[in-house]
Amino acid sequence: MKLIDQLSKLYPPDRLLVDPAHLAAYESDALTAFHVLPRAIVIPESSDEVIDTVRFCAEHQVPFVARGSGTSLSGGSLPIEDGLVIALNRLNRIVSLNPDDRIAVVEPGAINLQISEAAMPYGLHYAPDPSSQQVCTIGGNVAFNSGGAHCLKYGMTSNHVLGMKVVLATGEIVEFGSASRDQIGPDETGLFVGSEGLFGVALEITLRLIPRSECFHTVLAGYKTLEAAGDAVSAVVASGLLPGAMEIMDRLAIEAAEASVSCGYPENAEAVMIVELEGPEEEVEIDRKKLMALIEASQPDEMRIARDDSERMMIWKGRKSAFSAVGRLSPDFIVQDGVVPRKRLGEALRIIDDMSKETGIRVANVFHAGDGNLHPLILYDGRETGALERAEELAARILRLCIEMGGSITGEHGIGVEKRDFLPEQFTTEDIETMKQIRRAFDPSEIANRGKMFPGSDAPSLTMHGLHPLEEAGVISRE
Amino acid sequence: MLKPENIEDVQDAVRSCEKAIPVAGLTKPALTQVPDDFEHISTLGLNGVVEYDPSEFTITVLAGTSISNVQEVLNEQGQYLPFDPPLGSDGATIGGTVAAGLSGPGAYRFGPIRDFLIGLRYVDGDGKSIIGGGKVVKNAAGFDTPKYLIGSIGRLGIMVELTFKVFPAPETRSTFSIEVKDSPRAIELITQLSRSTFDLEAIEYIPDAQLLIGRLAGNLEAIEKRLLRIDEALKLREPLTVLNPFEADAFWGEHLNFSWIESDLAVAKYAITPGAINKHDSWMQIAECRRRYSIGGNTAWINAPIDLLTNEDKLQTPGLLIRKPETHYPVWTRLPKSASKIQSSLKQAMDAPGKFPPLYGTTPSPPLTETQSLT
Repeated sequence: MKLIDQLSKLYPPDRLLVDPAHLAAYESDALTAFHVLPRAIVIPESSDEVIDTVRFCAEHQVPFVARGSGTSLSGGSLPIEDGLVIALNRLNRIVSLNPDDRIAVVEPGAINLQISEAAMPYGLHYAPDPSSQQVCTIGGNVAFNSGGAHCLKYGMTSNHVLGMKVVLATGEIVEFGSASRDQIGPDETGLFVGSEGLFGVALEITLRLIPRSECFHTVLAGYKTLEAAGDAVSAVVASGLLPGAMEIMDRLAIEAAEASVSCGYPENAEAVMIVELEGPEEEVEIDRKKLMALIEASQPDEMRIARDDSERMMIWKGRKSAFSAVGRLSPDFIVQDGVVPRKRLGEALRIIDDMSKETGIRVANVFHAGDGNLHPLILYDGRETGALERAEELAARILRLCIEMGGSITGEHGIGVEKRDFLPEQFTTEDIETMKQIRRAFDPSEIANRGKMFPGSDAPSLTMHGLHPLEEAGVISRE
Repeated sequence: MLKPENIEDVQDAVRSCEKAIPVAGLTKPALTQVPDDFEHISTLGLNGVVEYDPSEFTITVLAGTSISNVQEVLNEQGQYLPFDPPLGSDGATIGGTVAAGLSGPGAYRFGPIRDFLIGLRYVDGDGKSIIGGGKVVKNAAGFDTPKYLIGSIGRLGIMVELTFKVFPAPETRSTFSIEVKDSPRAIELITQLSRSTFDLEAIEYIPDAQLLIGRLAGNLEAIEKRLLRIDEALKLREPLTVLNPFEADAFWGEHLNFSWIESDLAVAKYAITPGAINKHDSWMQIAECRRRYSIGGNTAWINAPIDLLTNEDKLQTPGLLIRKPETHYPVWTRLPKSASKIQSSLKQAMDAPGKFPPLYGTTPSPPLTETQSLT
């Protein structure tokens, strides 16, 4: 308990949690299959406290996990056994918002949607909009380079972070980037975003705000087949239009969303597609005519156009609630996050459907059709013996499919714990060794989010049931 | 000078020397002014499109491919590079552009290089060929090393293959100018335009000509209406002139190729915010520095005697020198504040043998002369 004694010099008892009942609240994140109890949780209320904590960890070699709202779908905020959780929710201020320069400086615990809400009176918004944005924090978004529905046109979190002040795992405090939209020198900010908490803790983050488009044209179309919806997307892409968003949901996902939020999506549709154009009125006026012609040519069963903002919100409601809605269909589920080249989406979905039929495991599909980022939702009942393992196996097969097709094992959720063992399938040993060297430059003792992202450690992971098939074949091995 | 023809050659070349630096089109000569014991490895032999599928919105090219070549290939399919790389008609290569971190006026709309570089292959100090990022527009696997190589000026590795996200090209563009009497007025307009929903493609400020230049991109049918609306909304006291296509081409041509500079003097790029313009423009005017402010007031290009650019009392933010006289000066006008332990640790991580010049190094040798150059 010596560690706790020392920590109690930094934190009062109500902000240093050690009671198992309190620890249990943090034992999981949105990757609910895994539970790990940390040694303690600290709740800093200032940057200085965060810095002191990280320095304490560096000095005493205590692994730590910085955590926002714990919405990571890859186990990125899962605690480390015997480690510390640094809960950042009280560092939730928007430190400043400058509408003329169009930037906001925020603390890591600030909630994603609150940034846009604060910017709205100025006609601005913060573009990255993961579906968890009412709850997820900017710090978490930074760690995992979170995406959302608008990535094709507007990019991911990294593109909207101009600079930050960070305490590295060594305890060194650095400032990366600036308030400028351009940079000189290597893009350190860009390297840090998406580093999955392995480098340090961001204390203050400078975000890029952009004007909210003046005009939206949002269409929901229902189709008899998933293929027809996919073809419609291909047609839109080939036409030279650049929609702000293009999303598809399959029948199971639609059912779930309907049960959850009564979004009123077309009944009996095998797939719905949402396409949204945005921009100056004069441009949207012309683009929407092109879009409507394309959608009509794709022969949807039903088509709806949002006539105003509230109808637009209704169209999006179903899609935004899809992940949590799936909880109504099944007690447990794994959210996958693979990417395939956009034109192979249809093919990938057919193969996933075949796999689902073959294994008898239901899979609901929601995806960012514009950029090939799939989210198969693999449904299972954890109370059934072996159900989790079978679901994991299917998840693994889907990830391998993505790699085979030249895509990626993760579009936006990151590697975390869940996909560590797949990293060597996407990158060579040398690529991974370079990443490790980079990691060690920031964190020589590997105390920041230890065990995440890189394969071969003891903490729980997706394929921790026997040897990985590639290991059995002698192709890869654990370090 | 070593002239590899493919990636394996580059690896061999790197392994064959103790010290090396990549060189390409020499359009940013300051960046390769290093001591004589650094072997020059030309990337010009790595030329061509590796993969291009317009329907994926991605293109993979070899590093020594000229910007103009890449733009031509994309143009044929109705696509373009939204970060608008400069110095294209001078022979700039895509690799050199990314290494220098240079984006052009069009980066105002959708962002600079970092918004479009999605993957890359580079050769490190040990001659290993390493990948960062990927070839699909959505990818969160591994660290984003491609971003870290943007602006790394050949000091961390030799880029050999780059993958970009590209966008559909607009049907048409229209350029207009607004006469502005001084920088406060220019900044006022930049701010107004940047906060608006007009969705401009570019906003440039040319203090010597007392002009703010704006550019719109979109549908032919919509552009004129948009221009009228902008004119009305701004309630300008000053004349707004729409340039005809010939005038516009001429302006952007000389703007992107830096024809406006005095080549005997140094040129540095600074990453700024519009507020900095108000702070510095008047004394630069008095000192008669040629200068242009790009990307909505986020980038400053200053053309001045080297002493002025390196005068720490004047310009507190560091600049990257892309041209400098044949003297011994570092490539930065002053050390960036993040030149700290982490910088040297990262250099160590990516270039363990110290094959390439130090990122914040000191005394270079004279530049490659015409006779030493590449053909």
